[in-house]
Amino acid sequence: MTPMGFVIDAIGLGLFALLGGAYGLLYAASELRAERRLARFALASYAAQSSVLLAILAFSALGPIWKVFLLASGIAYYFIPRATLRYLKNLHASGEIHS
Amino acid sequence: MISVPSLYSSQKLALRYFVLSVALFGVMIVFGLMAATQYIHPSFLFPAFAFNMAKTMHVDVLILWLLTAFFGCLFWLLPSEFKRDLIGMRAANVVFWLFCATIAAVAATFLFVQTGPGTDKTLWLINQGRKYVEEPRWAAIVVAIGIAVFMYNIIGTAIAAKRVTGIAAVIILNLIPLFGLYMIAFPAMTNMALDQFWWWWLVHFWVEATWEVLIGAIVALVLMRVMNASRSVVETWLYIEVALVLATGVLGIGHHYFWMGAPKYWLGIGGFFSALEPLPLLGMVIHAVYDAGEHRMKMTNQPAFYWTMLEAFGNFVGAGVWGFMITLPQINLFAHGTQWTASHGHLAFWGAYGCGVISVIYLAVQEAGGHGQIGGRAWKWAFGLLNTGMYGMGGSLLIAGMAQAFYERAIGGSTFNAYVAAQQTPWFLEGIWMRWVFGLVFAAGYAVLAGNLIALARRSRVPVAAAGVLAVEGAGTR
Repeated sequence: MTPMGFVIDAIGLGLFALLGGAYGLLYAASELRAERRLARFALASYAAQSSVLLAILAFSALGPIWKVFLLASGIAYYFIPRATLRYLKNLHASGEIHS
Repeated sequence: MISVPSLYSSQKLALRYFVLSVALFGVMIVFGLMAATQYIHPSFLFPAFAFNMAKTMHVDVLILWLLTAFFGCLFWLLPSEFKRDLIGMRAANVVFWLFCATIAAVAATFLFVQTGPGTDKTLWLINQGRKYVEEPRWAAIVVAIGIAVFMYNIIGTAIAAKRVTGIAAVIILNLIPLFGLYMIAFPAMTNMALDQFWWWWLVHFWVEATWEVLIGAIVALVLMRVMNASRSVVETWLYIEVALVLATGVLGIGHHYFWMGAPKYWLGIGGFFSALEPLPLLGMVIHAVYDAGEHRMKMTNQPAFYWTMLEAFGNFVGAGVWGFMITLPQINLFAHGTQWTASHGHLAFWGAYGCGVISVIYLAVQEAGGHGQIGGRAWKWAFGLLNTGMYGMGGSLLIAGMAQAFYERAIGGSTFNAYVAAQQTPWFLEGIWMRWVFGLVFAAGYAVLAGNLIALARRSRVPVAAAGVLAVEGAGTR
């Protein structure tokens, strides 16, 4: 790993997590407010996160196991907000019934 | 509604803990600013008060202001869970004053004695020399007694009340490792690798396990009070969060074992599990957004609500994003122990814990004073200045830390010359300067926060007799 490579990798990893968070935040907001514009921003965030991931996979000096792990994380980031939100909706619906 | 003649005695004690905690928060900032100044002017106050003691005071008081705030939070919130006052309050009051005296004595020792020869006497009376738990052994014994009495207050009350809610059960179970892990503050091992191995159990499992669980339970109680969230929903979500945080956080301890003599397999284990840590934090962000949307931003206490929401976001950014940057072994090799780590530490502590406890302090001030919605601009200024200051400091330290990791570690090969050279680079110097400037902004935010809390406390609208009613009214009875 070159000196500059390690800095770029670290920035890439930070951006990867940050964009995943932005996607989750915007996705949840778009679902709650039923706003298409927010949904588009959410998808754009995920697309940006995927681009960062692809760049890491292509150019980073990280080993193949770490790259597979990051790829799996990238896929998980797509589903986590959807699964979490669906679960929360069900939880709140059943909570309202029981309360 | 439950009528009580006055504030519960545990809630009166909680208010004292909050006063102590906010005062310690200020002390932490003062020593942080001193250390930041010494980075720019290394001779500042030298040799009377060197950088190492300013840093020791800064990080030790960090632990203390949060720990005393946690005590305050639980003393304030738990009577509504148990539907009664907490037991053993006489002992708890003694512990509070014992804590105050101990903190004052240890601070005086650190300020005026500072260090001693490598003997048992130094360990017992001056400084144990391990980061975060430098307090001399006699003071560590006082802390252990304090936590033991705190456990007695809560577990004893649960037994006396014959009532344990899900949240109370999580808190009780969590107190056992909280106490047990503190025992690691005592041994003094001469083998550094062994000493570090166990010391990380205390630091990591307090900060990334037991404290995470504790703040999760506190936030659950706050959400029920501030947004009238359903207990069943909040409790179920708490169980999930606890499971996920522990699943990733326990073996995530491995990211501290990379470079201190532990076996090589920790590189893989630590890297893998700590890289998973942002995922439950992402779930918390989704939950925060969902709660805000579900309740259409209607809340009974605006400052408490905003600080609680920031807790979720700040935790994700500080612990999740900043942690993810440096947690893989290939990156950590260069970044650990630099200002980059300090940047992560500042943002993670602030996001995960600082914001959460400030939220409860606003809640307690409102309930004790019988205020309606807390209006005015002061809390907004405090919110804005504190967060601008903190994220500014985090960004500045990140730049300084990247320069340090790049020039000192990656290019210079971690030699002493490289260390000195990296400290002279413009990126590092400007980052350190900007940290100082944003530190002043943060201090200004603290001044506004403290002023606002004092003003609210003085503007009590109801006699104390009725305040107790407010304190338990609607507190998660759905």
